[in-house]
Amino acid sequence: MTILDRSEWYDIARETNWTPTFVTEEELFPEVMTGGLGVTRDKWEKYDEPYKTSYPEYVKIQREKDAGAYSVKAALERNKLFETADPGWISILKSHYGGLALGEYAAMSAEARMTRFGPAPGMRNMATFGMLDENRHTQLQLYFPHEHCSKDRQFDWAVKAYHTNEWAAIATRRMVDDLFLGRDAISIAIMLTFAFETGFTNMQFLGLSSDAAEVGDYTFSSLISSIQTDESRHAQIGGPALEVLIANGKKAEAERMVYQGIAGAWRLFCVLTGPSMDYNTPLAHRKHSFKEFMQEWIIGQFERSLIDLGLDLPWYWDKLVAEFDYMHHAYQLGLWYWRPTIWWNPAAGVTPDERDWLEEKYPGWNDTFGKCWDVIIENVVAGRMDKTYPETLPILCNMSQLPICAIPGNGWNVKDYPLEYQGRTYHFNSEIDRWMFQQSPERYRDHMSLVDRLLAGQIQPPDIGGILKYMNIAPGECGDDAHKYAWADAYRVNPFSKSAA
Amino acid sequence: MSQLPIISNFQGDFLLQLVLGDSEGTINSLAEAAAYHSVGRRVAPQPGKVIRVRRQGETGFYKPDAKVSDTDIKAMDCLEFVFSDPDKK
Amino acid sequence: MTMPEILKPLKTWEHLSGARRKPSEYEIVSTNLHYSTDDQNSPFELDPNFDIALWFKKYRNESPIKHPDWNSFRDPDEIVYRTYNLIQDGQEAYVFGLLDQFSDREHDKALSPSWVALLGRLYTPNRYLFHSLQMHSAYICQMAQASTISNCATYQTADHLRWLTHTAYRTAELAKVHGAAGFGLNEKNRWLSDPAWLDIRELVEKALVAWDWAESFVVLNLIVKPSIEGATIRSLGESARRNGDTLLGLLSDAQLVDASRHQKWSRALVKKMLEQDENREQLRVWIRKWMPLAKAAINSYCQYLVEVPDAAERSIATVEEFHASLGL
Repeated sequence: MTILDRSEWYDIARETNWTPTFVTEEELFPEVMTGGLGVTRDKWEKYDEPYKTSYPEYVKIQREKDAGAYSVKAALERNKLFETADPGWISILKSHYGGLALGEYAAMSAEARMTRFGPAPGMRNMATFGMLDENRHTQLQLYFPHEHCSKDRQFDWAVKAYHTNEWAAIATRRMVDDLFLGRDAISIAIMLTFAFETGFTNMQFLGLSSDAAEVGDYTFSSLISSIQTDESRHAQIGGPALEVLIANGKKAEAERMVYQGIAGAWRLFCVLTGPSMDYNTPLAHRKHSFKEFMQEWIIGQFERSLIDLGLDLPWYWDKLVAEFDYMHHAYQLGLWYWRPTIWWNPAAGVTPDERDWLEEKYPGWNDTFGKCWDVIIENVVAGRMDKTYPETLPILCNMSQLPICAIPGNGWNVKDYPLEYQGRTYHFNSEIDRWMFQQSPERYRDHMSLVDRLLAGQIQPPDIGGILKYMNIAPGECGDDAHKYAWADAYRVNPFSKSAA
Repeated sequence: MSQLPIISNFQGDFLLQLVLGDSEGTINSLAEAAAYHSVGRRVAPQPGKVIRVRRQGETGFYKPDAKVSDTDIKAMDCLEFVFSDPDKK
Repeated sequence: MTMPEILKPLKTWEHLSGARRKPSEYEIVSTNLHYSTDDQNSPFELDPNFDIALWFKKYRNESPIKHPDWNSFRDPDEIVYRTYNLIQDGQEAYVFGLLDQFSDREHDKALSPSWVALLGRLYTPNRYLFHSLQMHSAYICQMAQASTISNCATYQTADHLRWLTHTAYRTAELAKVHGAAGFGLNEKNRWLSDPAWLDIRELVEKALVAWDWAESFVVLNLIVKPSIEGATIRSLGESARRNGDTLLGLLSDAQLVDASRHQKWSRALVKKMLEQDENREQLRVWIRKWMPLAKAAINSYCQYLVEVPDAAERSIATVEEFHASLGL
């Protein structure tokens, strides 16, 4: 056997930069698509991707991985899932697939942007594998839910969600478009691979994978842990890009991109993963709260990776950490109360036992979020179902496109964070969201939230029926309580113990 | 009647909501419109209390019987709706 | 308000459910995945007119090549990620088997000095060329009107990284045996200033900045690739065989397997474009615009392949026949 070691030819395969002479450097790598804050391309010669692989290794390993992932998907197990899994778990699958599958595809386009416009050959080669990875993640996360289509119309939203004006889909697109699909190559390297993938998809995939195993959904568990092995490879595109920027006097600008990436990603994970972990996952299978998970992954690990790179923590760090305690509880209330407007069936997750767990994990929950749920529970028990459905829209944050919300009950601190900009008043969920807007108003200025569209007359008729039609969501696919309100039985037996405390 | 969309920040509720008020109506009727979307839904009623209205960030309330169009309230202003004792002004 | 009917579960995605037959795995995982094409005025959930939105509106949405249903495009090979790796892992096993075997036989030591010099001049600088094809394919991937087109471009991007990898590998091997010939050192200079490469480089540099997505596709898949595949791969491979370099001949053939797959989807996309008769003239305009550069590139390179005297003529004829077979 005389096959050269990869190290003997790897560098040759990434010596592919040249200075063009028939077009200009600026034409070949236009600022709008390359970015890079004015760091010239020769400075990017120092870019060194820490994770090295090669084409033959890639196709071999990925072939083997796919053989594993697809073989786990045995027919018997698939069918059993619907009979045995808790409906809350099924809801997690639906929200996950609808929220992620086409986002992965957008990430493929973003990796392609780095492959074409990235200033360093090593980045362009790694992003080529990134393109393939994201292509894989899209296809896996469509192939698996597809077989459930015939049982449940909501699984159609794995493809459909991103093509609608459903509000959670708008919010998801906002994050995906703002953090990577609508960014230049350098910003993608930092916002998508460093902030989003290193910081957050770790959490989504590792957390959900272990939850899936707990629940007994081994198909999903192995699927997403297989995806995570790809992510942890191509997520490393961003680190060396940050090092180049820092070495060339762009630390502050690089930090700003990281901060924007974290803030944008946090909102989406908060609305999708937070309720999944603390409400939809059956109580018996919860190993950790969303807050504990965030503390381990974001504070414990991601914070360290920022510090290792010599980056300061974001100015908003304390505010963001404070949100671990309440933000996803607020989103959960919104998801459940506005359930006819989402493509999965949210679990209420507020039986007496579950409330005990919430109170233990989040001291004060009963006195704040519990107060809203008390009223909801009373209505459900009394059969006043009309009072458990919305008749208006939440005000949506002009940054995240999610409802502006915070702590209710006796901790009431809900607040608008407005900004007047060029004659228009924008509304934000927090100082962080408002700061995001101020970093580059031209990216957001003429975008209209769902509420803005309603007020501008773009949604007709301007009532709940018209709004649902605009969202392209109809009975048969729109959400309802995951357990068909069976959880309320605990309160029917003893209507006076409405609080677990 | 002239519809006036405002942002309702209702005490004890968890979010801001879009509420359509009547600019020719009183502040009280605006409070009722906001209460419709919060009280008895996610906010427990507080018998014996009244709901007063103020602009976010301010301490003074609008007069309950003032006509909305006579106040400085404009479309999409963020207003706080707060339970108060009836005797307190 | 009248109650709308209650939607029932379907056997497949709603957008595929009208078809008479069961959708294939390819269709299930490949179709209708771009959402930024949904609102032509605002590609992203952001300001409709910030810089990158304008880029997509100008170079994709306002392309002169129109079709009412780009999502109806299908890859004739119906390649999905899973099968791509199956195919290419097999192909790479073959190629690395060759590399192993020829290395054991000390193949490189037997090459003549003149052929070694020619390899340094006409073969190893290919990595710059192949990398430009990789970059260019990635542009088509991100700008294409339908996910079924983007997927073809994704696999094509990876294939060109494959070619680049083979070339880098061989460069390192040749450097070990023929240290004085400058392998691994001189390629950039050759690429930048050798008259064999100048016209090729002009072609690819200009092609890389043809931003309209359809023109970008035409210039890469109908002009640049068929031209260089004829010259720097097929003709060079023939020349190799005539110089006792069996390995390069076989390597070239292995890469041309990818190239013929690329031609298949290119043919299918042109066919899709020509479903709208108005598109034919624009496609012809682009071919007329780019062919002179391509011919110059082929001629400049092939003149140094003395053992294959008709290399340029045949390469150009092959490209023109390809265009003619497309009805262009």
